[in-house]
Order: sequence, then structure tokens, then C-alpha cells
Amino acid sequence: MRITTVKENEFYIIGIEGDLDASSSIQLDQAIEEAVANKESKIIVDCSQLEYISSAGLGVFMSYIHDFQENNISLVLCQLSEKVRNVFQILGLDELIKIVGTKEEAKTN
Amino acid sequence: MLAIVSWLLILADDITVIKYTQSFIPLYFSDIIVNILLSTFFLFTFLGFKVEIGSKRTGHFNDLLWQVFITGAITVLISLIIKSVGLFSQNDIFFNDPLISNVLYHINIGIITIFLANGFYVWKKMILYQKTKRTDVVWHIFEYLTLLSVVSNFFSFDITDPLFLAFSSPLTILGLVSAFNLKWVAFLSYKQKWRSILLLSLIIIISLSFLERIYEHHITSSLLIDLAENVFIQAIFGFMLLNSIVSLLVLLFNLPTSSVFEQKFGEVMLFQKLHQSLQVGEKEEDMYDMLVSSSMTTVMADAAWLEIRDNNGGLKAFKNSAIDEYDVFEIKKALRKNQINITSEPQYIKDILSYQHTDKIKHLGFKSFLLIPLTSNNQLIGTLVLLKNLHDGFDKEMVDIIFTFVSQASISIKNFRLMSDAIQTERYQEELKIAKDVQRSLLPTSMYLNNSIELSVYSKGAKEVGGDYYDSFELSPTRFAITIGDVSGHGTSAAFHMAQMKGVFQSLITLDLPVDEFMTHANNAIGRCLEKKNFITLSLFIINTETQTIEYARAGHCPAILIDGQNHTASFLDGKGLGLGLSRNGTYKKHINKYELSYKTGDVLILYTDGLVEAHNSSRDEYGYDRLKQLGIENAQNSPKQLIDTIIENVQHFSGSTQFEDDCTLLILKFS
Repeated sequence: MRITTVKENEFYIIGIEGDLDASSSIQLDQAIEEAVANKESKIIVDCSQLEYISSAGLGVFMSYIHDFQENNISLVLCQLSEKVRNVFQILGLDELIKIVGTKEEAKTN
Repeated sequence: MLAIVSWLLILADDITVIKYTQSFIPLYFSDIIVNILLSTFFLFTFLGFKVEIGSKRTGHFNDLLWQVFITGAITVLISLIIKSVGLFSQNDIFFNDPLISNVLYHINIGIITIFLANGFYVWKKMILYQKTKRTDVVWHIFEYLTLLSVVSNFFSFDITDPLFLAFSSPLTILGLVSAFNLKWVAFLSYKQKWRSILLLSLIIIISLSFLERIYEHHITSSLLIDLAENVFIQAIFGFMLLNSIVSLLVLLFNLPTSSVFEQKFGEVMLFQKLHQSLQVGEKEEDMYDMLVSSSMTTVMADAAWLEIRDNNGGLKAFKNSAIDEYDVFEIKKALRKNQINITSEPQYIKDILSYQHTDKIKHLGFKSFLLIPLTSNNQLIGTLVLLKNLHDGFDKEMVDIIFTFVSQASISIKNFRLMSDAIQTERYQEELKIAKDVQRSLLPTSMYLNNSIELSVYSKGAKEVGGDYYDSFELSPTRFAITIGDVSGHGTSAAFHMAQMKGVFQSLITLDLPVDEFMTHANNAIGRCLEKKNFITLSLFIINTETQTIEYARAGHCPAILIDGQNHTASFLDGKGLGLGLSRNGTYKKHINKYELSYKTGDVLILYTDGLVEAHNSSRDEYGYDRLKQLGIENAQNSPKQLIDTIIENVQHFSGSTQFEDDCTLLILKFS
């Protein structure tokens, strides 16, 4: 798995490529932590290249939800494959995390 | 015993003979008897010592020489006392009386024989130390020939007699050959060699004094038995003297090389000591101490330190000897400033003071340094540094020895590490096994609801410990709760979380709450127990067999499938529901719903965990929900047990493996 981070205007964009499982979720955790440390308030996770997400990967998003709500940091996921989106839906996470289609939608939200 | 008896008999015989001589009555037979008795005495004295000394342990050469010397000293003392008594009495008759002089001479014969016998067999022991077949054979021929020479007692020879020479010359040659087997000399330490030289000198003096005594008597007295004409005694004397002198010379010449030999021997012993310390059971820590102290002794270093690094390059152990930790730090700093780094080859610094930046370490007095790396699989695992106050204090031999030494230690350190890794892995696996067993024991072994529900379970744990959970509870004879869930993560923690889930389920279910309320309470309880990153998915069904209705809530778990047995259709029991532990701010209630539906006889309810639908084939396609649903519809008429077999077989066929990557649970209920 590979994590890329790009800054586009006020948006901090994290791109995930490949499988997000127990071993690779640590990298994502570090990337989000870094964004928080940099006082980023608009984080977009680009999932266009994300092929698989395990419960550990979901756990990473989960661990930040409350902190972000309290600190007014927005976290938006975009361009999820149908399979990955289904995982979020089954778990009910789509109610807690904003999930949109395109990156542009993510920016307007 | 026999020897003493013989000696007494000779004595007695002599006295009688002399008495007869005095009375001028010749007795011819006594000559032969005397000779027989003399020979018997010799033989048995020798045999006695052969047995006695033969039983002694070899190796303590000084003790053996000491024994010879003591015997000699005592015998000399006795003969001196006798002589002095004679001198003191100032009696001419005492000397001239053939009877008395003969008796005294006989006592001398006795003690000389004891001295000789003792010496002879001690030499045998020394000569045959680390014997070869050849030396053994030569010695035995010599020994038996010597003993055979006792026979010569029966003939009277003069020393110049050609016959005497003819017999003694082969003896002399064999004795000479044997005398040069001096392997024992090499095994003496420097100190022991000096002691041996002293003892040998004394033994030679004693032997010479005896010899002198014999010849003195030979010339001055008229004797019945003259040892000077005895081939046997001559041979042994000659052999003893020869051997002592040769040994003495060899010892003398060996002295200068002795210290070098001893040092080499010490090194061998050190290697052995090190090797022993490397045996299983010793602590790694002890081996470091051993390595430092042994290396220091071997090269006579004034100080040393050892650094051991772990696999990540961190300092694992540090040992210093005769040097301060702070000074080590300063020295290392100075070495670094001079671009001296540890490589895989040992480095030698003849004089550190010829380098720059050495002001701070000058006062320590160390001049020559030896830096030896410890490597394992070409990876640097540590450094041993030896220091000496001398300029150019290490020679090539020392460097070679220490390098071999350290290589050996490196291998051992590697072995220690492999072993502790293996133990760690084993312990980890043992813990996993316990966790697995605990987890298994939390799952119900048999599930029976009532006669109107046919139920079958398949549950297969992954290689690792997973977190699949299912359980049931009877609320009333016609109302049953059944649940299936999955704890996120794997390993020991998953097993504990599952245990917590079971506790929550078993306590909450007795309250007979509406299913959505149950989930809200469960979420609160689980949210307090689990780490932020962990959560549990759970589905709860309350089945009423009387009204044929199902009330359910789905907290993030994969949706169950209800198959209509008559119409061959199926539906997923999805709907809103957030996993337990995902919302911990008191808003969970908003994210969970309660659903109700009714079923008909012949309908089938399929409950499962994601391990089943996420099973994938080699091209990474997942088995998926639709395949499961379709297979359920096609086989709905079969019993739950048959249906499970069909599904599992199908999934395994799809994934091309009989082993699920994740753990996998399948529960099938058929209503009748």
C-alpha cells in the first residue's frame, strides 16, 4: 500500500493506493496524525486507488471521528469503489463519515 | 614378603658360610643356594615395585621423582648410620671381621636393591608416558632382558670379561634407546622443571654414592656376594644414571622455551574455557564477561571494553574492564575524529598518541589499541577493543589469536540470539494457542431452540485467533434470541474482546429489551471496554415461533439472508445500523433501528460472518453476497446441515483452498 499527501489550497488530500489492512493502516494513521499536527482543518481522503479495506483500516477513521467533530476538522472520503463503499455502508459508517463521489464534491462540502 | 624372607635367608646362609670358612670346612653347595636366594630377592623386590608403581597415576612426574629421591635419601641415611656406627666404635675387628662386614654389606645390598627397583619402575612410567607401540615393545624387551640378567648371578664374571660385555651391550643399547623417550618433560611447567632438575641431581648424587660404596667394598673387602660383579645391578645402575643425566640435560635445554610453550598451552586452555562457556545453559551476559577477561589475559592487555549491538544497531551490552566508562567515551570520540571506524576487519593502532585530537586521552596512558569487530552473517554485532600501555604492544600472533577467539564468540552470540528468538516465537505461539482455546470455549458447543426450528452451525477459526462470535438465549419456550458477531482485529486481543462481548450479551439479553435498545446498551458497554480503534459488529434476532415473527437489529454486521422456501426468493435483512463501539458520544441511538418481519414454514435464515463472503480466489475476486444468496435459494429445500456443506464446499471450490484466510462462521436456521 502507498500513501500520498498533497496540499490543494486549503485542502489536505491523502491518497490511498492498494490494500488498507492491519499492517498498512499504521501508515494512514501517521498521515492523518501529521495533518492534525499541521493544523489542517479540511482533510480529503482520495480512495480512488483503494482496493480493499479491513476492519483495522476502518478503525483508523473511527479513532479520529470524535476528535474531528470536537475540533471542527472536516474529513471527507471520495471516489470509493463500490466494494469499499459497501463495507462502509454495512458497518453504518456512512452515517458518521461524509462519503462523496468526486473530489470536487468533496471540496464543495 | 618373599623378598624379605629371601634376604634374611641369604643373611643367615652367609653367616653360616663364614662360620664354616672360619673353621675351614668348605661347603660347596651353599654357593648355588646363595645365588638362588639372591636372585629370588632381586626378582621379588622388583616385582613388588612393579606392581606398586604400576598402579600409580601418571602425570605427577614430580611426585614420582620425589619418591625416588626420598627412597634414595632414606637408604643413604641408613647406610651412613651403619657406617658412622662403625667409625664411631673405632674397632678394627668391626671392619676386619668378615662376618660383620658381610652382614653390613648385605644390609647395603637390600637397600640398594630397593632404591634401584623403585627408580627402575618410576623411569618405566616416565618413559612410557604417551607411549607408542614401538617404545612399548623396546621397553618390554629391555625390562625382560634386565630381569633375565639376574641369572648371571650364577656365574661369576669380571667386568672386563668378554662374555659380560656380550650380555651387557644389547642391554645398554636398548636402555639408551628407551632413555630418550622423554615426552614427559614437555608436560612440566617451568616451575616443575626446576624442581625436577633439583630432584634429578640429587638422585644422581645418591646413585653415585651407592656406586662408590659398592666399588669401595669391591676393592677393600673380601665378599661372598659382590655386587660389582653383578650384571643385573650394573645394568640397572647404568640405566638409572644414564636416564637421569639425559633427562637432566633435556630439562636444562628445555628451560628457555618452556615459557613460550606454557603460553601456547595456556591459550589452548583458554580456548577450551571459552568454548565451554559457549555451551547451552550459560547466560549471554556471562559470555561477554568471559570474552573480555579471556581476551585480556591472552594478549596481556591493560584494559578492554566490549560493545554488543542488537539487530537494530542499538547498544545491547557494554562491558568495560580496567577502564572508566567516561574514558571509553573520550577514546571513541578521539577515534571518530581521526576517521577510525569499525569495519569488518580488525584494526591495529600502534600508537594513538601519534594521531591528532588525543589531548583528552593522553593522561590515560594507553598507547596501542586493537579494535576487533564481532560479525555475524556479515553484520556487525559488536566491537572488542583491547588497550595496552605499551607502544606497539600487540604482535601478529596475538592479533590472529584474538581474531579467531572473537569469531568463535560471535558465532555463539548468534546462536544465543537464534535460541532466544525461537523461545520467544514458541511462547507467542503458546499464548495464541491459549487465546484460541479460550475463544473456542466461549462459543456454545450445542444449540437447540425448539422443535419448530432446525439449526446447524459451521465455525472455523483462522490460522490466527479471530473474533467470530455467536450465541443464543431462550427468553421463553417460544421466544429465542440468537446473535452473531465479529470482533475487529485478530490475535489475543480479539479473543478478549469476544469474551467481553459474550459477557455483555449474556447479561443484557436477560432484560428482554427491544433489540434496538439492546444494541444501544451494548454499544455503551462495549465503547467503555474497547480501544478507540476497535469495534464489534453484531446482529441480534428474536424469533417467536408462536407468531412466526422475527424482530431484529443489525449493528454493522453483514446482513442476514432470509430465503422464502416456497417462492424461491431471498432478501437481505439490511437496514440501518452502526457497529458497536463506533459511536461513543451518546448518539448511537440515532444510528440503530429495529425491524420486524414474519416468516413461513419452510423459510431459511442464513447468518454468517464476513470471512465467508470475503473469501477470495487467486485473482482476488471475492465470493460475495450474491453467490451466497443464489446458492441458498437453489438449496433451500435441503436440511440446514446439508445446506452448510453445500455452501462451504462451494466457497472452498471458489477460493481454491480449504483454509479460510479469516475465520468464518455460518449459522443456518430452517423454520418448520
